[in-house]
Amino acid sequence: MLNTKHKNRNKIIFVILAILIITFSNFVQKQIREFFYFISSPIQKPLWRAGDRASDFLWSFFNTKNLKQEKERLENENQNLIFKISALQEIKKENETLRQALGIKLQENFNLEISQIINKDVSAGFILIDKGLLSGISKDMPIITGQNVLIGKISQVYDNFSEVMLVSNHKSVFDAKISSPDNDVTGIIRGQGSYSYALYDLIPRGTEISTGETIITSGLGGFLPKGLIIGKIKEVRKSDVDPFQQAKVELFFNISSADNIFVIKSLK
Amino acid sequence: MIKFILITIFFYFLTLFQTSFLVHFAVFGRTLNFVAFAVILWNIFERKENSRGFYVAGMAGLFLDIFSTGFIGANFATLIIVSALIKFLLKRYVKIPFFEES
Repeated sequence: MLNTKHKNRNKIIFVILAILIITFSNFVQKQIREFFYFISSPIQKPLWRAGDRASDFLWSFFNTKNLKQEKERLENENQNLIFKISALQEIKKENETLRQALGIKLQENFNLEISQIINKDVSAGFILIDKGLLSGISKDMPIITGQNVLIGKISQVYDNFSEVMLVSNHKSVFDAKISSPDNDVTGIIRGQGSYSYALYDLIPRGTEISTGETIITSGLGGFLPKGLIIGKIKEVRKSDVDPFQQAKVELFFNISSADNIFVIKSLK
Repeated sequence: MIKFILITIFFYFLTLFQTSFLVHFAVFGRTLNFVAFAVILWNIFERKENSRGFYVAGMAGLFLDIFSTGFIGANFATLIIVSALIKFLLKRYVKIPFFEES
């Protein structure tokens, strides 16, 4: 009888202590996380690189059958891109001549800070990078890959680390448009929780969109510069009832293949 | 006491392994939570009279909270509740002769 009472008292003390510790740790969560990130980053960096290599190896091992088809598809895509590049180079020359004639300066260069991913939140779409307040990083700065592919934006800054909310996160919403000179359809990109796909939403019903078209940032939201690549349309969803159409977008950003990423600190 | 320290160290490294290494192996775009899986297994295979599973759940939850972005306590509370539920179900409804004997 006494033993049961003693056990129950211990359980109550344990619960009260746990609640107190958890409540208190939320007041100093920034300091607690900063401390753990600091002592763990020497272990996390090599672990991240090892995981990256191992997943690449496994991917190539399981996809050997599809490599031939993939090679043919890439060769076709490469030829198309070469054709497009030559056309764009002509337009670029023409554009530069016009800019010079009108006296307009080009403003699309970024002030970048190179960084590395060291950790990823398992449940939500967040990653941790190894640059923070001391490197001049602040909240809402966009993160891109070396190929100008948008990864996300800074959601929390510590002294030496920053949390990045990925494009795929449920809470991530920003303006985007189709990257085509003939098609100026704007909408918004909503994260869906999956690392591969997002939703291109609020596209007016009357506009024509098709699969394979590339989606880029429109620059209307404020914090994102325009022209950052997001993904390509995989599937268009139309309904007679809804005033807007939607599209499933395959994201170009692959978390496993991004070794170095860049924080856009400002436009030059 | 040493066992509790070893459990703490084990779950600290398991959380690091989970958040930096295993996250590369997503299945259908989702990452499996091996830390939570380890806690569930621990509570299933622990002896009925033992309550170390709660400590395991608490430590694992705390480390998951620290290395995630939500408020500290979400994973902690979830894993403690899951552990309590497993223990309750095993005590009330499950009888495995092998575990009864050991």
